Amino acid sequence: MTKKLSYSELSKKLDDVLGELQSGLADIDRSLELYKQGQKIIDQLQLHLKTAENEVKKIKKTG
Amino acid sequence: MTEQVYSPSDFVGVFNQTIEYAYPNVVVEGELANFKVSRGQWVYFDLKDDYASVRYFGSVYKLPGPIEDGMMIRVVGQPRLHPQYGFSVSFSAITPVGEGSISKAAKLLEVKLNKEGLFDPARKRKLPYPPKHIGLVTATGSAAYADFIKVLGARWGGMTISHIDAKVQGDEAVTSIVEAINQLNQLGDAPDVIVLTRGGGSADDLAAFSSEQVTRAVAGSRIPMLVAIGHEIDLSLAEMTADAHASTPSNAAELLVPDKLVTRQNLDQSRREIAGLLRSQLENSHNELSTKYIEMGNYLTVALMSANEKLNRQNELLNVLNPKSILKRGYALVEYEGKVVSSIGDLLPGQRVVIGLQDGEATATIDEVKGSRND
Repeated sequence: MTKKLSYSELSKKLDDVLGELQSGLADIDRSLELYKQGQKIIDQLQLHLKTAENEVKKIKKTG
Repeated sequence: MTEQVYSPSDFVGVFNQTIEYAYPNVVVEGELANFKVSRGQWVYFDLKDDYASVRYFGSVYKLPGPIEDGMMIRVVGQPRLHPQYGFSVSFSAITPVGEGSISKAAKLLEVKLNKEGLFDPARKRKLPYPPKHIGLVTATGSAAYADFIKVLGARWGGMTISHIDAKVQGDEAVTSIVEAINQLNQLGDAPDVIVLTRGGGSADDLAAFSSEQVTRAVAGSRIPMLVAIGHEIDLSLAEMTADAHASTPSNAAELLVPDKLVTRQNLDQSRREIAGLLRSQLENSHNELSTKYIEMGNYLTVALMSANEKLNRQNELLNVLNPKSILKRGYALVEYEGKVVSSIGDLLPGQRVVIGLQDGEATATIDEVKGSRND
């Protein structure tokens, strides 16, 4: 049960993946895992970018 | 006709009634002088021009902000004759007028609020990037509204914008803006960020954004605020205390959200980077393996060579120690009844012995023995 992550949350996860890959500390298995994770996150981010318009709500003034 | 004779108290009463009827409110604009606050509560000052000076009195809570002698101000007040203290005008509203006074008032307020730490950079919070829900305080139908919404929409989608219409100039602006900010802060489904914006205008037009109430409302907003007032030079106080500020409504949209296009390119770039990192990791592992392979080969070779050398040495030693080598050097082996004779004490005259040389044997009989153990 994964809750839908926001754009910023996904973006942060991508940074983490890149960071770990760039550090050079990951072994082959981990690197492959990170590669797959990274590509999947980017797919989700690209999907976010395709979303539609912004919704403008008028708030009635109280008082 | 007999003239009316009043007592002083009656006179004051009648006079005030007449004045109240004729001038329930009077608006006077002049230079502030002799400004004084007594007991932190009561304000006294004179409003003057070159020929006259009128005494004013009122409550400190009705002041618009810090003001000082020399400023031009517009005062709304009720004139009255005090039974003991003479004539004065009780003020209900004060507004600095003219660019000079307005910026002077703003400067004084700025100093005061700065002392309280409202402009401290450490107070500023990071705006969510990108936000999901934006609260917008601006005038409906204004160019500022249109520009902001348009640039926002071009750059980023999927957001909700809760807009409260507010007056952004004039007498009612201060209250309107403060109420809008408070209302957004109190929404059940509150925005992640509030944008307060308007286009350019004169110093009078923008005065609300350097008022104490609006500045405090921005500073006190629980939700981070971006204030964008179109202006030429100086920042308004509201912008100075906000978590972020922008020069125009369009600029505000640019600061608030990323650009879809650029983001798309960056993501493609990230894809390539991840693939590249994996590739170099694979290459490194491959190289590491190759190196280890060669190393192993080297060790093996060294070990073999070492073993070989040892074998050679042992061989040589064996050759030297071989009895046959000794015979080659001219020594003879003497045997008696099948056993090697190594001492002269083992021989007696008359014994038949076998003499072995490098290339054959000879039998002989002992004639004489010298150097026996028995000697």
